[in-house]
Amino acid sequence: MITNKIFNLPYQINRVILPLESNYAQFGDLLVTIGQVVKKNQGLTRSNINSNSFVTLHAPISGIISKIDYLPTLSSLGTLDKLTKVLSIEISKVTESNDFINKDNIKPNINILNPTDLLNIINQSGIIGLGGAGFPTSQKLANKNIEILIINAMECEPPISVDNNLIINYSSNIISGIEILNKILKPKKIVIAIKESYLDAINILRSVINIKQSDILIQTFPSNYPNGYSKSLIKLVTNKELGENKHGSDYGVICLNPATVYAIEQAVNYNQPLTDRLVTISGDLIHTPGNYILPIGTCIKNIIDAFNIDINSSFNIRIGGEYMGYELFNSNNKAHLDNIDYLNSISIEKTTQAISINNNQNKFIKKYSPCIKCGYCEDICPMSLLPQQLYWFGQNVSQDKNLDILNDYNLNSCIECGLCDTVCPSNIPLTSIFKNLKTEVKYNYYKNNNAKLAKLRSDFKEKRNNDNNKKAANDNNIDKKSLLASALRLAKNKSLQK
Amino acid sequence: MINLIYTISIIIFILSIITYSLLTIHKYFKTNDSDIVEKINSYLPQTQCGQCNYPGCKPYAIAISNNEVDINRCPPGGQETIDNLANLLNLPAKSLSKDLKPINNIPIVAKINESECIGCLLCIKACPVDAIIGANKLMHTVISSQCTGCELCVDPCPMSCITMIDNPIPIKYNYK
Repeated sequence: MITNKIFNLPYQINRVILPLESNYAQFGDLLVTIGQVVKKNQGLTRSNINSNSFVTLHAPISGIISKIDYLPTLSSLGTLDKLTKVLSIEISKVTESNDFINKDNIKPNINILNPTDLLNIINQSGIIGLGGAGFPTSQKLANKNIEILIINAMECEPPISVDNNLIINYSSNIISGIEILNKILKPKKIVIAIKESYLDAINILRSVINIKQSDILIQTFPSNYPNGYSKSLIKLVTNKELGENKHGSDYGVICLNPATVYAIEQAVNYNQPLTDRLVTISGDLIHTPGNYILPIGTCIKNIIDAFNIDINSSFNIRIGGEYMGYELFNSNNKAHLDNIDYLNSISIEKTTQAISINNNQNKFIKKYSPCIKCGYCEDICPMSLLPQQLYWFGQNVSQDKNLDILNDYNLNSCIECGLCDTVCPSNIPLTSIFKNLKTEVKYNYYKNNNAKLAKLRSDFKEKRNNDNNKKAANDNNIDKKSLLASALRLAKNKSLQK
Repeated sequence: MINLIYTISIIIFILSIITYSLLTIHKYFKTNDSDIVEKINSYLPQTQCGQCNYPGCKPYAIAISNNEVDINRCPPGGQETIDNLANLLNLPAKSLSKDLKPINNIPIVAKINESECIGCLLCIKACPVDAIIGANKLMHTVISSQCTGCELCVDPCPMSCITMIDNPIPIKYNYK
């Protein structure tokens, strides 16, 4: 059972590794070079509010920039193939321990700030959605015409309990964060959607709302999976079903989770940029499971060391929840064991919610057999897709035809929740197959689109060349005739003068 | 005797009806030559690289439709294109012709080293898809999102300042 306390990692973190790119967010151009001394909370990149996918990145610890390198990161989604530019900062004895202080560290008066200033502060503080997707919050909040703001405290995957913890410990901060959001968005309705089972959190929120006398609604929902997914939650709260490739903002709804709201509050009220986050660390091998406050960029190896886990024993590391998360490391996997150094370079990102480190012995290894067309996956799919059909057409994906069929069956609406995996009596790893298919479809679309454009351009060039040739030929003819005529005219004139 | 004449005339009558109907069907449902060319062309990768010894993808498609050339002469398309063409034209699938160099799967794009460029327009004339911009005696540059990686601009450059680099945009993930 995870307690409500917030822990610090029992380990001195001497080195952080910061990727310059997250899932949806990019952290802009670097402002620092190798060898430069940086202090905690100092901005490392230049952000730009106008191109909103750029948010500022801050130094989580004081130290020296030791390396700028291309390495695999967590946000490359469980693959080790894609490399991202990363910064590493190491603590050395030269660096002073005092933090970087902003020019105006005085608590700004919220009443003076207008929405654009607030958005600017949020952008400059490097805040992105802390729930997993990592969409830049300033971009999300820049939407006009938002009617409903939903605070999504529905975290529905088993080990994650970050939001519950934050609400219990920092409820008044979160409520004042919501008031800041109210100032920016001016929604008609603010709803805190929370799990029925979080009784303590609900009580604390109720009392704080009573004291502050704000008109924030608290709605409780059963803790079914995947109610915490924004699309499912929007359907629960507003009864609106989001279409394919649509976001909540298209329907006037915005979802933010308490961790993001807390970060916004800290940024606006205390000038504290986003440099730490709460991460749920759990599993068989963790003797004190709980929510730990970690500097962003903490290496996975440091966490393993902090809990005295033997690197040679048989264990696995899972990033994220039980369903949507993925296995980062498994000592049964030979490819992982051969490149064990990558644990040294992969680090916690702003979007990492949970880590679980488990013994391999307790893990049930599933063998999969052919699909028997039972249709259980179709009953359970929260997006009402037909996983069985998708699987069938995904088998011979190399043919163009099947890719079109997959699009017809709305492959892109799959939210990768993993429910079809769990109900499948044949143990087919459907979700990972769909993930692969999605990238295949995307890649093919990209390729075909490029071919189409290239064809258009080459046709145009051919046509232009032909036209030019024709024109040149015509010009030549005209030139000869006109020259002849003018010469004749000159000769005539001369003869007349004589 | 008269029976035989009846039989023959009836047979001739039926045959003429069948012939006439077949001719009309042929007239109305005739496959257009340009349709086949378009179909073949749609399976080609449109890099316009000319490695098939034709000046572009469309001329190669025309040549295939006229049975002048084999279908296995397109290195950028790879085995996928050959298989698709074999399916379309009811031909046996082959592997890539041996005198051609197969291309590895990583997409490549041209990059001009702009400090060395003298603005001679030669690469612009060579580019089949207008992916290079620039003007006479001014620096040229490649629009990398529209470059097909055909390498046709590399040879004409007098300063040899054009190199091919990996195209970083499309990534195929491999989930476990």
